[in-house]
Amino acid sequence: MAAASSVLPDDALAGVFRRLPARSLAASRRVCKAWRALIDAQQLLLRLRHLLPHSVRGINYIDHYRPHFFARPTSTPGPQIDGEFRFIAYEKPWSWYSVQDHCNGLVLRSADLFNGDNMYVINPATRRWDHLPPCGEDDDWNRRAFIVFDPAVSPHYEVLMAPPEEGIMPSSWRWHVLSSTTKTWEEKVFVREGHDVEEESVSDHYCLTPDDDDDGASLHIGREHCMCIAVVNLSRALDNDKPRLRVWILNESADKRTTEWLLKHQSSLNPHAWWTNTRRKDDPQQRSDAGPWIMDDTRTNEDAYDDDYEYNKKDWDSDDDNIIPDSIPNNEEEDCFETVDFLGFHPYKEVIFLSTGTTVACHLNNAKARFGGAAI
Amino acid sequence: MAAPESGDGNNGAARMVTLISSDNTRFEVEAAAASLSQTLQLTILDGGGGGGDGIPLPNVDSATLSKVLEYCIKHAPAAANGGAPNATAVDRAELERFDNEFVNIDQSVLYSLIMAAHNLEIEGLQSLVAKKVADMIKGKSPMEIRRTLGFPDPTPEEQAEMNAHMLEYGWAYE
Repeated sequence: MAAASSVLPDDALAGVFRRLPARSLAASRRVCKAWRALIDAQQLLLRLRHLLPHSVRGINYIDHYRPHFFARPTSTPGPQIDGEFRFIAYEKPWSWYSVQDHCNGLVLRSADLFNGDNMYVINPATRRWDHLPPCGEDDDWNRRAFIVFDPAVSPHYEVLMAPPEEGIMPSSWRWHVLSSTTKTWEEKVFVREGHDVEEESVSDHYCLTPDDDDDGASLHIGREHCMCIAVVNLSRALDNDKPRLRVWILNESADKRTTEWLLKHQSSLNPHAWWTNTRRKDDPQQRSDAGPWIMDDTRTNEDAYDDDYEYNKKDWDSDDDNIIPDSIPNNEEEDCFETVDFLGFHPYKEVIFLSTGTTVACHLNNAKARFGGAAI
Repeated sequence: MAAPESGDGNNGAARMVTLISSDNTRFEVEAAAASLSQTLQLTILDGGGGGGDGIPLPNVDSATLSKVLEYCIKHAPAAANGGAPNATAVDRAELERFDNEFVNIDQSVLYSLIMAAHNLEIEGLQSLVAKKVADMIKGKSPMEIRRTLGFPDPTPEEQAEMNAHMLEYGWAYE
């Protein structure tokens, strides 16, 4: 039978392509040269970019420097995602590794504490990975690295490497930047503009995360190159037992000329209550790993969880399910994780994911915490 | 000056036109149905296709034309109502059922239909067949798409190119 490409006129094919979702269109682009030329000529993929991402397969996050994939079992079509990146063909066995950063589905990971050139960028969903070249002569494993990736803007990512000596943020800053288009490191100078959130928050709060190497606050910067940047500040005021959650959004004016930081959300967190209310050892259904989201299957590892692991396939999208009471039941004073870790933003809902040993989805609109699942 | 013999459809009986396929089969259909084709519409408005003349369609064979006309005849009443704003839910459901069954056909027939719908500019049929092909592509890998649509196995060069372009978009898409 004659192939569709030789039979069908371009207009008819374009009509077909226009009815495809982005993922299928990207697959069609690889089918043959003629299809690729047609899709590129009509910029069909670019037309769809505002629709990305189409679905949330889950979130990658870092806990104890290890990558994890956290997803809802009912909303994960396609092949299973390997949150531990067992598909990477390493050049040599790693004695130690850590995840440096993650952004919109890409994970930046470095291997071997004493050999800083082993840095990888990984897309767990597509199983694509890059081994990055070493960054300059004064390469230092202690330098912080960040990844910036927004598939809605460009199919390419950038990795930013902080200067070895950071201290308090200076007015101008010399970083190394690598783009996936060139795969080479280039020096870039960043100039600080306006109000400095980090400095302000560091001065009167102390860090919640003991092993956090940030200078005082658990900070995460994400959504670079997007309309907004959110900075999450998890801090504990000295005069208040409860940790505070503050989220700033970098707001662009309509003409895109000026930006300003807006305090989008501010609330007290009660990780002790989350922990106590979601972890009842006598009832497996009520346990902290009975949430609608589950972690990638790492239970075969040495830090495996108990055998009676069960999870609940309840739909998570309604607004009221899984709300965690903010008070601690009587006679339930258990040891609780004192730290609150930031796991990630939901890409298009005003929800952030926090971890206190239990994973919690926190709604910025009503400050309600919803139970996600185990995150230990 | 005499008006065209074929009349303009105001005299009770529906006006008929004759279409002639590439293999010389003659099809007589209502002008309203044939007019779903933008290409034929002007000719028919000019009075063509009536009487013994017939409109030759050298690009469409009889098997395809009969299928195309099946579609046109079914959709002509709704189209005459200007997109059928008055159509009942039952009518719409019936058309939808017809459409689904209509494209449940062999792939070579589907391709011939796509070509005919394209050449004759029948908008509804164009989107119906495009949707059908899109449904066949959705959720498949490039290799699966090739197999589904009857592409020959890729040459080593084509395979290498497919892999290279996977890398290009691999950061964003699967």
